Amino acid sequence: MSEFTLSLIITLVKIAVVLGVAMGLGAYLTWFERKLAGHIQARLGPTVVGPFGLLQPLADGIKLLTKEPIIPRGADVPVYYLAIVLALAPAILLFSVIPFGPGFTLLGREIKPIIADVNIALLVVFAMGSLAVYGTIFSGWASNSKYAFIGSLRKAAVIIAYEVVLGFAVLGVVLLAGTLSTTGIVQAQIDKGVWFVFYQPVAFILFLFCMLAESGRVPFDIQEAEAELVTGYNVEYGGMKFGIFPLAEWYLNVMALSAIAVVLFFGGWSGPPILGPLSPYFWFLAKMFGLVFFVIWLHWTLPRFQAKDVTEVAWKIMLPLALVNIIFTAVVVYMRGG
Amino acid sequence: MDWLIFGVLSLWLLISVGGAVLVKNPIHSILFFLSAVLATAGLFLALGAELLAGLQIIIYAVAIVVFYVLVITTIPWEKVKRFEGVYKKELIFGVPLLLLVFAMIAYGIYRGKLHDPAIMKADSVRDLGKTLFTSYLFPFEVASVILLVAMIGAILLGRKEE
Amino acid sequence: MAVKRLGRKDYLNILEAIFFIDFLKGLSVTLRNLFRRPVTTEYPSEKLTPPKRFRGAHGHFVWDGTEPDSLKAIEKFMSYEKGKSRCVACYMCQTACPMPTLFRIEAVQMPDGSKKVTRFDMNLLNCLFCGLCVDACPVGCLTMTDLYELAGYSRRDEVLRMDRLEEFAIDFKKRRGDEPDRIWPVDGEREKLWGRIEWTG
Repeated sequence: MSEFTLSLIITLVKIAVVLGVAMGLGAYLTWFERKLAGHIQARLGPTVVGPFGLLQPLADGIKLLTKEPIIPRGADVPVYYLAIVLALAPAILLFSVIPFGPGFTLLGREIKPIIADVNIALLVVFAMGSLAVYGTIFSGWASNSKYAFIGSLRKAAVIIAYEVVLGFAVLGVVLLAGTLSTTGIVQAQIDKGVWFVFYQPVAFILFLFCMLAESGRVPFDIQEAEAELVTGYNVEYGGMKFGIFPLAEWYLNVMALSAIAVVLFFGGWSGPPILGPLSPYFWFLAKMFGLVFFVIWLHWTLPRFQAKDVTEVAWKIMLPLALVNIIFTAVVVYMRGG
Repeated sequence: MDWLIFGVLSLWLLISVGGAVLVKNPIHSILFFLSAVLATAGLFLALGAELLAGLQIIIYAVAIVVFYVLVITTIPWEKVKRFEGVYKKELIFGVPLLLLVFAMIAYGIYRGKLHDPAIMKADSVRDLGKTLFTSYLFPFEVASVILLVAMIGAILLGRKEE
Repeated sequence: MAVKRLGRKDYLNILEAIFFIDFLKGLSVTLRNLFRRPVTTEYPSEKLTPPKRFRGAHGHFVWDGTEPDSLKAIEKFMSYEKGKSRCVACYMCQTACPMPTLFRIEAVQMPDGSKKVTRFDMNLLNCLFCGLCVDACPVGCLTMTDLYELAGYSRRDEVLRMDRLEEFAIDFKKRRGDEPDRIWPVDGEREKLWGRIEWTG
């Protein structure tokens, strides 16, 4: 077996593992969110299907898959279907640059638990985050409904505003680590022995806000805005076609961006070795789900911003803050001879 | 194996460029254009220019095409759908020019050394940044000033009369 | 009337704005709620017993010797049977009802001159459970029970006839007759749900 085939097989196995874990966890996050939301509101959440309602995602999946497909009149059918792919693909591709742990040796081969260890990993993150906007725009446009279209235009405004802030917020960490590669950033934090959240608290808060805006979570969920727009851009979709959008945006995107936040600010897989060789993975997943929990907790706490406020906050408050943060960081790094 | 990847990507690129030119519906045309941009990014990746691929996606695929999409989706649909026929006069001038340019590029590639794996750097991001902010600082800043001027002009044009 | 204008600074000072104090307050509220016991009743498997004065399906109290003294005066004009409705067909309930056509009441004169109620139908599909008919009843016959599962498979099922009304009331009296006639039999139970009320004076 040639070297090329071997590396291809290893990559395919990694893709299969990450895809399976991400999709499975994404489906189960629906259960987790419903349970958490229920208890926050002194309700119970799903309890009927399986113990603690654990089989609820499966039941939902069966329900969504067996629904009648309805396509609105006047819809642009190819674009209508393409929008689903355009929404789901970037969310999944985000997982390709997330390092889940340090490299290890298996049968004499060095294996890194990351699908694509490229030196532009953070650029890929931004690119995929903003490519997700096509899913929303085209789903709203193709379904020939004004509510859906208003939702997608709002999402476009939010994405354009927050992509800029996101890029500038992350630059501080890049300056400190001196690399754009995700493994490199984690390694830099391990070498320095300190998480970057302590050096870059402002950047972390900005990143958190951008993450909420990009994944359509409260308080920036103006594109869904149940009270005004029904559910915004995906209102004309039914069955599993409808199920894909929240799965991609609310769950996969949140998970992937939480993982990126862990990589950037919380030292990735670093942590005391309490589980032997598995402890890096444990720490990574624990930190990631801590953040996911925080996002969902925030979702069920805060009200929604007005549509005009969301972009105003981004351009008028966050962007200047991010710029000041970068300049400050650059000066300090330069002074200390970074 | 390289030729297979290159072949798939270039076929994808050619199909999407052809679609972008030939399709009547402007939204479909934009989608083909987006696909062409992504295919180009893929080609860059296959050639080892990761930074270029990333910038291609961020700047072209997202920033620029999104604005095309926003404009096309928000203007009245009757205006968009009007088909103005094939541009015959433009075609007569355009095709020879296209062939000429193609021949020039082909000649350049054939004679010159545009892609040489030996000069590929491991950390292209750092090198590009260094080059951009040392040797090419002046053109870079001039380009940003031009962009700023264009932005101010656009804001002035787009402002409502008071 | 003068309007006092408030800016952001009046209810959120600069420190609170920087450290997201209002966010943290909200988060602490939801976190506290997260660990509170849920108040949900899982309906088909757990069923609440409503308070005695709950306005559920209607019932007819029967003539069994427990009726108020006022009824004794007219007993001899009515042809009552033991264990049957003590309705006198006075149409007061129908008069009080905001939707009078939901009642259909008929009475006949028996050969001995007494009055017998032959029909008392209530179409609950039109009923809004306001309880005015119960208040209007002069002989304490019409009542409302604590039965609230009133869904049926046909419209005919939703029309209560006299036999079902009697059945409901007999059952209701057997179960709840001894309880004090209050919304919450125990103060503790009310306070658990709605909090303690501090009365002044």
